[in-house]
Amino acid sequence: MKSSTKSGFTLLEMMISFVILSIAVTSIYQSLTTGLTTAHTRLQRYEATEIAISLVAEIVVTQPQLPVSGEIGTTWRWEARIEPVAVEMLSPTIFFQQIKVDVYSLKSPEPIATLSRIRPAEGT
Amino acid sequence: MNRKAGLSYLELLIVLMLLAITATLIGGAFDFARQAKTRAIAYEAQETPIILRGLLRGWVENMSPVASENGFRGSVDGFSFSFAGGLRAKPLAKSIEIHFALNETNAAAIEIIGNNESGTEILRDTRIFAPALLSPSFSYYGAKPSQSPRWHEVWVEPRLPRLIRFQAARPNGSAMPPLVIRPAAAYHQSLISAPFPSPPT
Repeated sequence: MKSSTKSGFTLLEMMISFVILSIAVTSIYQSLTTGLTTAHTRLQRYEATEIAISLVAEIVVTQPQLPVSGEIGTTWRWEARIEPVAVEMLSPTIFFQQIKVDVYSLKSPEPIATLSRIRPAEGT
Repeated sequence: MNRKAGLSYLELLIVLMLLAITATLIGGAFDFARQAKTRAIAYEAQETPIILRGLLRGWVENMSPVASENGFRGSVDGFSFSFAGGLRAKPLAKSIEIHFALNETNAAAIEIIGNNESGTEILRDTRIFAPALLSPSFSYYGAKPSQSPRWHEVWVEPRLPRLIRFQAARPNGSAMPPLVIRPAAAYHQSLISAPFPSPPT
């Protein structure tokens, strides 16, 4: 019966170590995935913001009839519209127009970047 | 007394199963790590043009509205301008020229040239904005004398164009988001808050 006192791992120890290993590997997977997703989201937001800055510059100068919308390649969709803004705290009330540009990825219903620019309303 | 040293058949089976699962996990982890590396490199490559767009936008928007100070020239394959070098230019350059242009392979590059007081080149740096673009085009929005404003292919007027636009398609055929910049926008926006003299024409 000297075999039962031999040094070595028992099955139980093996199973415990396996559980610990799988917990560790899973958490590494998760952190890597989260990191990559964050990098992707941030990059997309950068790019969408850049697109919005270009669009606002063009709309402010060329003054097309709003609302307008368009697509860029197979990745982006954008919408530009005008929203009236009244500053009632001033007397008399001053009316502004807010040019608002939303940039969407073709996959997402929510805008990834939104940029607005205020200008005095026409005829005031 | 049939208890012998060693694992029973069942134990052996369990150990083999655990080993198989561990091997799959580690194999999967290697594969995942390789994919993660590829994606990280791809993201970095996508980030460079975004950073360069921001850099270029900053320079163009902060350009002087005075023609003799900005030396702006826009052609079909690029535009160039200059500004006074500040303390941040190293080594200290009196003036800095920026050339945003296409090379022979249709790659768009930003060239930064620093000159000292006597006009000698003391600094030259080239950054690739985008490699091998398809059908790239530059256009300039503004009014030439006695015309209404529209997009032009060439701009050599004494005044700045009101917009600069760069459009192209990526090598895979998908459209690159157009880059539209308003020259001297910083100056024009400052007019709203502080009454500067009107820009010379």
